[in-house]
Amino acid sequence: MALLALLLWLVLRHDAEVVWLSSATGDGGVLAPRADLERSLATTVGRAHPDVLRAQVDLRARGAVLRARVTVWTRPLADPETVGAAADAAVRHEAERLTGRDLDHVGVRVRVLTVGRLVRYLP
Amino acid sequence: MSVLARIVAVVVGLVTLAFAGAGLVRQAAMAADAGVSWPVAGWWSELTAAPSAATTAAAVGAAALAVLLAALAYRQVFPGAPAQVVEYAVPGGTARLSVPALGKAVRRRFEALLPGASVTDVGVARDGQGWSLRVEADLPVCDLRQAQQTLLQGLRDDLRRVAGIEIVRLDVVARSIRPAAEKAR
Repeated sequence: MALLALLLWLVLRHDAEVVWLSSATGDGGVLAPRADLERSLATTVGRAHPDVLRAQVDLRARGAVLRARVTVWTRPLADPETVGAAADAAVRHEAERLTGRDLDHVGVRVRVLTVGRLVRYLP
Repeated sequence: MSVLARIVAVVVGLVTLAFAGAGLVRQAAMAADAGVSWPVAGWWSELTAAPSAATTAAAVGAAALAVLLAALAYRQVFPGAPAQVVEYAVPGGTARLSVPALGKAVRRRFEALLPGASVTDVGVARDGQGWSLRVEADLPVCDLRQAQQTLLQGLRDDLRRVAGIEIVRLDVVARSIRPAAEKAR
């Protein structure tokens, strides 16, 4: 049973933690750590708008399709649409800078914090 | 491993784990209390009580498959040391290529072409289409696809001139991607 569990772990382990960026000409590519890409994207999104307090990016690759799910936490009374648009533009721009192509899909979720929860998110 | 192969492997593994777990619980329960009666399933009794030629063939096949899969798993975990010298045919006869020497050349060229990068491992392979390079490195933040193309072109030109080989594929395995200032710390 321990051996079986080990084999299962080998199958499931860290493959999901990397993103394969194949070259357009089919002569190789880059296998990049997902966490590093996500951190860079999140840093950029965090600077996209003054009301953004924290940002988290979840990058997914299926075949050649790259998707990003962005969650931003903003100051109270921030305009979610403005912040969402800024985050969308920022994550697309940074992804293009890092991977050489635009993201195929970006989902942005904006969470406007209440004053009571603000203290936990302030830098 | 493809997604389908992974799903099949996980399902098979979980089902086998469930069966093995049930068997373990059964043995433990019977050992703990001699009064416990826990008969095995009818289909299993039929299969093992009077084994036919088909049963034997199936068992042998399953055992062979298990050995094959175990060997493949072992090779995946411990791929073994790569060849130090690659021999290949050239018009005049046979040429020998020292992989460590090639690795050093690739490392120098790679780090010159992509400032801030630090190469940790280089692998070389040859198939019918040509030579392939696999470079493992810590990379600076940059356009990764563009960098791969620049590196491929640079290494291709360099190795064609130096070693007379044609690089057709470059796979870069980024161990980390850090801003240059962070890497320097």
